[in-house]
Amino acid sequence: MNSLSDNALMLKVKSGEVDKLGLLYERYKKMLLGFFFKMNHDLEASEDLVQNVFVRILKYKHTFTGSGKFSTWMYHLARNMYYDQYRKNKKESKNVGVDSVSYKLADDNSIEIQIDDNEQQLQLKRALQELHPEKRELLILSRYQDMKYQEIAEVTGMSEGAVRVKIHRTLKELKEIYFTLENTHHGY
Amino acid sequence: MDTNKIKELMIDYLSETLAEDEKRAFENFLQEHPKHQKEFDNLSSSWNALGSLETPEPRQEMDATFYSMLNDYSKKGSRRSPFSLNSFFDPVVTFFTQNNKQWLYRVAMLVIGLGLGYFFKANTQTNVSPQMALQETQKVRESLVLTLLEQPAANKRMQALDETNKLEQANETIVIALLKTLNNDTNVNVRLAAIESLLLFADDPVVREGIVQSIVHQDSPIVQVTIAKVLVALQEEGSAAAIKKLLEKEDLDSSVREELEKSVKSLL
Repeated sequence: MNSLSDNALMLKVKSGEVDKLGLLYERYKKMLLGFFFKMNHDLEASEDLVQNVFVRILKYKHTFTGSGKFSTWMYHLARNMYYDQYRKNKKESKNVGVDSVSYKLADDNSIEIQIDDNEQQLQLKRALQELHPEKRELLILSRYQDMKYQEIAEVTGMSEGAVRVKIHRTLKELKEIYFTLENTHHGY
Repeated sequence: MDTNKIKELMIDYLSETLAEDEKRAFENFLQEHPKHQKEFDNLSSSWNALGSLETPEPRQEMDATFYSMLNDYSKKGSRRSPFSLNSFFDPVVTFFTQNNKQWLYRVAMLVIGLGLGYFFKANTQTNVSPQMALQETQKVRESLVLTLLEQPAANKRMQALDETNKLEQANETIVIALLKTLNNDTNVNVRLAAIESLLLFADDPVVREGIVQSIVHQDSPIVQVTIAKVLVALQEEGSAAAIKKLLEKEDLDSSVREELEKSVKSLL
């Protein structure tokens, strides 16, 4: 089966064969959507972010050297995109005193359009949203994006050891938040 | 053992990155240290719970937006800046270097230009009905499309496909020329634009049948995926069989194969 590597495809995009970006899109669209969706729990905003990642890939294609992995380079762009949006939303929502308007986990059913969650999963999602975005990001990259710790370290600018220790702490924090939310929910 | 090292090992264990012997050694360590075992069990339950969260599937709208963005970008890339020095000198260079076909094109353009000028001038002087005027414009435009489609320069052929957007309807000659472009043009962007142009006339069964038959002849992944998406949208008879035929090719890209298999499922 003829399957070019991600790097080979991206180098082709860089040299002008932009249609090859379609293949990279097909390979990564679900992972990227999952990354953004788990970060912000807003399907529409996540789809826009996926789209913008690929627009940015085209814009900055000249900076891709092929020396590192394509996915690492792509996640660099993706998280920059997310944090730009996050800061923008935070700034906009400052006046109403809410941490983030678009990135809240809504109590209405909007995010459960396609996923039929049980109560525990919903609680877990709420707990995830309570985490600081940088901690949440570490859990998402390690648990859902199939990334090695070395890659996560490269993307986030931390050492590999620090990534593992932070994930450890964040998992503990997540559990604490989960139980606090559960106790609040049951009126303790 | 250093506390941080234990934490790192717990995470490595959970993410299954430890080798078999390391794994066993760590399990033994936990059995000997109940405090750490308890901590590990807690982490493990959170880690497993996270694994139960699902991710939504990308919607077709997202694909459509992406491919339309990519198509626009490709189109822009194939157009030259109207202010570049090259665009000023190129006609001079090509004047001396192009083959006879180019001359024919220039003559045809001149004749069409004169024809249009004559037609519009005549239109102001005589009582030509609006219906007749439309028919004449349509004829001139059809000739322009057919002439431009024969040009060696890809941007001229793209211009032809842009012109088809202005056609009220497509006669058999135009449809055949568009299908020929879709099947044989050497430029991927032109082939993609041909799909767009053909879709304008998708109510014609010949067009739909032509698109179905075309997928087997395509070698570009983006064109293959685009046609497959079009076929899903059109739900034309025979589409699934045509895609299956393409799937028989061994040198298909794995991502394209995946996409095509999805399309077949939606068509069955």
